[in-house]
Amino acid sequence: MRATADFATTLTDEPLLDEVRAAGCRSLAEMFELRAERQPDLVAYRFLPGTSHQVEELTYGELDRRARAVASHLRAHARVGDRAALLYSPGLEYVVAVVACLYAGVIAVPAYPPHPRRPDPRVPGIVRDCEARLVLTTRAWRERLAAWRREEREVGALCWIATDDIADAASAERARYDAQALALLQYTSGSTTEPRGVRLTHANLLANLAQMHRRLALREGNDAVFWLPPFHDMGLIGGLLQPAYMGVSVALMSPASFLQRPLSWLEAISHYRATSSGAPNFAYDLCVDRSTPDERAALDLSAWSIALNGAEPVRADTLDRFARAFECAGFRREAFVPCYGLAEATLMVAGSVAPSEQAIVHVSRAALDAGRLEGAASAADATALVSCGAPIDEHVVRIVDVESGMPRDDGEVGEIWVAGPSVGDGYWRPRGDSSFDARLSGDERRWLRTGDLGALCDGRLFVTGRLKDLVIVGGRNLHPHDIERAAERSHGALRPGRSAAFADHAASDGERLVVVLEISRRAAPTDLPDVFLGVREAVARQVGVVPGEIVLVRQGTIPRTSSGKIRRAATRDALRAGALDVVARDGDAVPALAAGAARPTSREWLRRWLAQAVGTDVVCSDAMTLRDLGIESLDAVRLVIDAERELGVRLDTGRLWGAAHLGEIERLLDGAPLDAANDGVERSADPPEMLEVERRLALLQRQGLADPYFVPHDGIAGSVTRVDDRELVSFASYDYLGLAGDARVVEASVDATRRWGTSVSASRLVSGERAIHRELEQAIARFLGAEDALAFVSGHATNVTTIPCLVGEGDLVIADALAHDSIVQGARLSGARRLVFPHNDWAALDALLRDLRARYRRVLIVIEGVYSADGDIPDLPRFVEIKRRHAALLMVDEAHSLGVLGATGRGVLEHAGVAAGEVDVLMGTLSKALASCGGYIAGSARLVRYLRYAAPGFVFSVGLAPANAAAALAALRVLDAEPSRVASLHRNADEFLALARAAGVDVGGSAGTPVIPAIVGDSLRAIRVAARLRELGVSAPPMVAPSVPERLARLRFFVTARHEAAQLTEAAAALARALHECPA
Amino acid sequence: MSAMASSVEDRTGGTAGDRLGAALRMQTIDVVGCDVRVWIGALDHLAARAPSLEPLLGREERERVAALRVPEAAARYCAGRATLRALLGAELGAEPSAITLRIGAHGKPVLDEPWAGGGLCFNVAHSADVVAVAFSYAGDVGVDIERRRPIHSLERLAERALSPGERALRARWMAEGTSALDAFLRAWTVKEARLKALGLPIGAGLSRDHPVARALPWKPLRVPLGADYFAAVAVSPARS
Repeated sequence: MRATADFATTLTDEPLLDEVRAAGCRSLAEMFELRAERQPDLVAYRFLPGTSHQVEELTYGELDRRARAVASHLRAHARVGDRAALLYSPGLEYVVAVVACLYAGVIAVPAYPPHPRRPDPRVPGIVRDCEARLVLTTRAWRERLAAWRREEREVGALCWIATDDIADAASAERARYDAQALALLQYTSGSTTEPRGVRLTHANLLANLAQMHRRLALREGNDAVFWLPPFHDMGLIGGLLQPAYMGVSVALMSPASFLQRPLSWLEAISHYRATSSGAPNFAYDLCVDRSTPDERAALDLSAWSIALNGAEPVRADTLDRFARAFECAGFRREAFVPCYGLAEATLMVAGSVAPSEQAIVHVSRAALDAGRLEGAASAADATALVSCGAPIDEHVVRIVDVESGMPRDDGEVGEIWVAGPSVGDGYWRPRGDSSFDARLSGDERRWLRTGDLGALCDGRLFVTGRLKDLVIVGGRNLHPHDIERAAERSHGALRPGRSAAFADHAASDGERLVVVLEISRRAAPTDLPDVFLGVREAVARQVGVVPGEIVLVRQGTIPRTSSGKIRRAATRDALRAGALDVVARDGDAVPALAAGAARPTSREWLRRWLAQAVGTDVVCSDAMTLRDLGIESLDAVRLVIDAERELGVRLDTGRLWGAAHLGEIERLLDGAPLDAANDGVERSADPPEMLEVERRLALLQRQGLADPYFVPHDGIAGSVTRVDDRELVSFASYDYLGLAGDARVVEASVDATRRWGTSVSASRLVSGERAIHRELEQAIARFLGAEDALAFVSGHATNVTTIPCLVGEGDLVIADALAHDSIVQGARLSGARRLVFPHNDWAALDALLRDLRARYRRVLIVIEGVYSADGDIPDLPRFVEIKRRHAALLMVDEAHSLGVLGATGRGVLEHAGVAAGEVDVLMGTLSKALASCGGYIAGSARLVRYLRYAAPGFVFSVGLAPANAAAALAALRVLDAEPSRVASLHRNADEFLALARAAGVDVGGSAGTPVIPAIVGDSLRAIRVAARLRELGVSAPPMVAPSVPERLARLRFFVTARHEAAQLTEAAAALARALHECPA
Repeated sequence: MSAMASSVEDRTGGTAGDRLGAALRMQTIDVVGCDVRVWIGALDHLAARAPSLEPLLGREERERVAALRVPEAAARYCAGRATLRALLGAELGAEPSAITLRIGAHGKPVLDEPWAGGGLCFNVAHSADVVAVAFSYAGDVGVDIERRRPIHSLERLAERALSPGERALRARWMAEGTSALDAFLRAWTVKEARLKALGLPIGAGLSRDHPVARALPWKPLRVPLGADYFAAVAVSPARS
C-alpha cells in the first residue's frame, strides 16, 4: 500500500493491476459487488457536511446492502431500462441511489432538487426529456417539494420514492447486466429548455474508468477528495465511480461548501492526506484569491499527487499562480494533470501526467487565429497554451477541418473528433443532432464531433477554443457548413459556397436559425416562393430544424475574407444592422421585440408550431388543412392545447380538424380569446343518455313497430293475462308459484294494512319497525337455515346498498359476467375494483383469483342462483370451494332461485346440497316466488345486525310496507306447507323446455329452471317475433341489446306452477309459428 | 329496407385488394356481440400507386387531389379514399366511384342515399403509413390508429387530453408494466375510436368524460404492420 504516487513509475511498463478488468466485470453493478466482496469494511465514501455535523461514512459493504434494499424496492416500481431522476443534495444517499439504480437495471439520471420556490425549468425539462418513470429523493426533500410537485404536475405525478425510508433488507439477488445496457443519462449539455442527455452504457463507463485508472496510475491508498456535484460528469464519474473502480476512499463535499469557503476543499485534502482531487480551472483561482498565506501554510498538500484540472479550458497562468501560492503547503507543480474531456465521451479524453512532458507551450497568437500552432516570434505575439496530454489508450483523437471534413495535419487547428469505447451511445433524444456518428472518409469508425477546437502536436492535444461558428439552436450544435450546403443545393437559383448560416440570439423567442443566401441575378420574382420552400425543406431535412428566417441577398454581397471564405459573424452583424442588400425575406422575420412585448402573431406561432411539433420536412401553404399535412388527430389536439397555453385562445377541436385550412386556423387563433364556451363538447340542455333513449324509440317507430314496452296488463299476474281486452297466455311474470292472487296471501296483506296502515311512515330505525317485519325476517332465516335476515323495500336496492357495506376501495368485487344490473350498480357504488369472470366459469374465477387475490384486502364473489337471461344454474359447490381457498366472501343472489330450485324451494343451496353457513351472504327478492315486493339479505346474525344499522338503503328508507311484508310472509308459509307447488313448477318447466326444443327453438343453455329463452338473433327480429306472438295470443317479453349481445337477442319465457299443459303446448306452437313468420 | 342481417357474406377483401393493387389485411372483431370487420393497408405502398387509384374516387375527391399542392399529401389522400371506396364497392356490389358519400355532423363521412339504406356503417383512420377501414352492420363504428413516437410534454398532454376514465385506464395499463407513452397512445386510440363511432369531433370534450362515449364498448385492434402502432375499434350498438 503506497501513500503517495511514485511519478517515476507512472509511465513504465509495469503492469498496473486493474482488478475490475481482471475480475471480468462487465457492468458497474458487478464492480460495486466486487468491492463489497473484497473490501466490505473499507470506508469507501465519506461526506463532509461543511458544518459542525458529523462526517458520514459508508463502507463498501454497507453501500452494497443499502443499495440492494433500494434496488429491490425499485424493481417493484420500475422495469429494467426505465429512467429514474435522482433529486438529492450531494451526500451519501446520492451514492446509494446511483448504485441502487445500477443494481436494479434502472437508468440513473442524476439531477438535483430544484429550489422549492424559485422557478427552475431545468429539472422538469430533464425529467420530461428522458421520460423518467421514477423520482428518487429523500424523505425530507419529498416533503419540501410538496408544493413544487403540485405546480409541476407532470413531475409531481411520477412515482416519488424516498430511498432513505427504505429499510435494509437482505436480498440475495445478484443480477448480471449487459455491458451494452445503458447505465445512466448525463444531462450536462443542451440548453435549459432543451436539455440533452448523453446515453452512457456500462461498457462506456468501464472503458473510461479503466483508462483513467491507467493514465492516472491511481492505486490502492490513493484516497481522493471531490466537491463537484454528482450530477456533473467529473463529480459523478471522477468523484463517485472512479474511487470504486480502484477500491479507494473518497471524501465528498458539496459544491456549496466549497463555494462558501474554498479553502475547506484544500483542508480536506490536507486532513485526509488525499493523493487525488480535481476541479475546474476556476476553482484553483478561487483558492488562491480566497486564502491568506498563513492559512495556506497551515495545510499539508504534500501527498497530493494528482490535481486534475478539467471541465473548462485550462489556463497556464492559473497553474502558475496556484503552484506558487501553495508551494508553502508542500504542493508540487508536477501534480497538475490538465485534462480534456466531455460528457459525450463519458469523462476523460486526454490527460497530461508526466512532468517530463512540456505542459505549457507558447505559441504565436496571429498564427493561432489563422489556425496553426507555431512558435511565437515575439513576446507580444505569444500566448500560452496548456497541453492536455496524449489521448487515453484505446482512443483516438483527430483534428478535422470543418469545411472540408478532412483530417488536418499536426499543428493545424480544427474540430476535435474522438473515437473509442468511451464515446457514448448518442443523446437520449437526438432531435437531429449530428455530433455522434460522424464519419471520416475511408474510416469505419464512429466519431464524436466535440464542437471544440484544438490541435495535435507530437501526439499531445491542445484545446484552443469552441467552434465559434457552431450554430447552437435549441441546445443543439448545428454545423453551419451542413446547413449551407443543404440549402444551396435545394434550388437552381442558389450558388454553392454563397450562403451563411448562423444563430440569431437577439430574437425575443430565443435562438433562431437564420440562413442568408445569395440568389442568382437571373432568378425571377416568381421563383422566390419555391426557393424559400426548397431551402426550408432541405435544411429541415438535413438538421431537423426549420430556419426561423431565410434571407435572399443579391449575388456577391455576403461578406468574405480576403481569401474568399464566408464570414458568418460579419454577415449576422450586417443583417442586424440592415446593411445587407436584401432581395427577399421569408419566415417569422420580425425584428427583435422589446422585452415583455406582445405575443407573436398567429401566423408566426402557427408556422413555428407546425415546424417544431409535427415534423420538419413538411412545407405549409395557407390553403392546406391539417390533414393535408399529415397531422394526425392527436397532434391537432396538441395544437389546441398549446394554443391555449401559449396564446391564451380556445380553439374548437371540431372546427380545427374538420374544415379549417391554415389560413382559417390563423384567423381562429387571432379571434378566439379564452372563454369556456367552445371546446368541442355539444352543449345541450338534455343529457345525452336521454337523447339516446329517444333515438332508440325513434328507430323502433321508423321500423313501423309499436313500442313493446309499458304495455298495460290487466288482472292479476299469472298464467293468463289481459291486454287491450284480449286474453293472452302469459309467460311474462315471475310469479313462479302462482301466489300473486292467492286468497291466503291477499287476505294476509289486507289484514296487515288494516292493522298497521298503508305505510309505516318512518325508517325502521326510528319508528317504522312493526312486528310483521321481524316475523317475516325470522321466517325467511328459518326457511333458509340462516341465522337472521333483513328485509328491504326493493330487490334492486338491496344489492345496491348491501354490496358497498361489504367492500370498498382496496377491495375487489368479482361477479359473474351476466350478473344482474343491481349487482353491477352496487359494485360501482362501493368503489372497489370491479371484475367479471366469464359466465359460470368457476375455473376462470379460480385462475383470476390466483393472480389477483394478494392485491386486495377483501374479495367478494357474486353469483346468482338462477340466471334470468339464460335460465342456467351455477355449480355452487365449486364456488364455495374457491371462496374458501382464496379467503373470499361469497354472495349468492337468489332472486330467481328462491321457491324455484330445490325439492322444497329453498333455493340453489338446497339444489346443490350446500349448507347455509357456507355462503356468506344470501340475497333474494320478495317479488317473485313470494308474490310481494322487496328484497332480503340472509346470513350471520352479525352481518344482519351490521346492515340493520349501517346499510343506507335500509336506514334512510321507509320500512317495508305492512302489506308487502305480510304478503311475503304468507306466501312463504304456503311455500313451506306446499312443496308440491315447487314440484309442479319443475314439471312445467321441464315440459316447456322439451316442447320448445322439439319445435326447433334455440333455448341456449337453459336447463332445469323455469326461465327458458328463445334466442332469435338480432334485436329487431326479437321485437317482431314478440309482437307476432302476441297476435297469436301469447305474451313473452323480448330481451334485446344492450342487455344481451346483439346477435343473441331473445324472447324469454317464465314458466310458473300455474301453467296448464295445454297452455304450454299452445305457446310452444305459437312460438314456432311466429319464428317461422318472422324470418331472420 | 332489407332486414338487418347479422351475418353478411364476405364479398370483400379479395376484390378490393385487386382493385387497389395492394394487399389489405382483414380481421373480424367481436365487440360485445357486434361484428366489426377491419381492413388494414400500408398507406405508403398505396400512395405510391396513387395515379392508378384516382379512377376509384368520387368527383369531389378528385378535385381535392388536384388542388393539393404537395404531391405527397395528395397521393396519401387519394390512396386513403381509394381504399375506402374499393372496400365499399366490393361490399355494396357497386362501382367504387359511383358510391355517394356525404359529410355528417362534425365531418364524419357517411353513406348517402340510396347506399345508406343497407345499414352499413363505416369509419376510416390513418396514422403515418397505415390506413384502417372498419365496417359494421351492428351500429355506428369508430376506429383510430396512432403510431408510437416520442411526445413532448407527455404528462401534460395526458392530463389535458384524457378524461378521468381514460386516465384510469391508462394508469391501469401502466401499473401492469406498459410504458407511459404506450399507455397514453392506447388510451387515446380508445377515446378517439369511441368519439368517431358517435360522429363527434376529434378530441371532443378532451379532459371531460363524454357521457355516452365513455360507455361504448371497444376492443383493441392488432396492426399487422409492426409493433409501433396502437389501434382500437368501438361500436355504438344501435344504428344511427
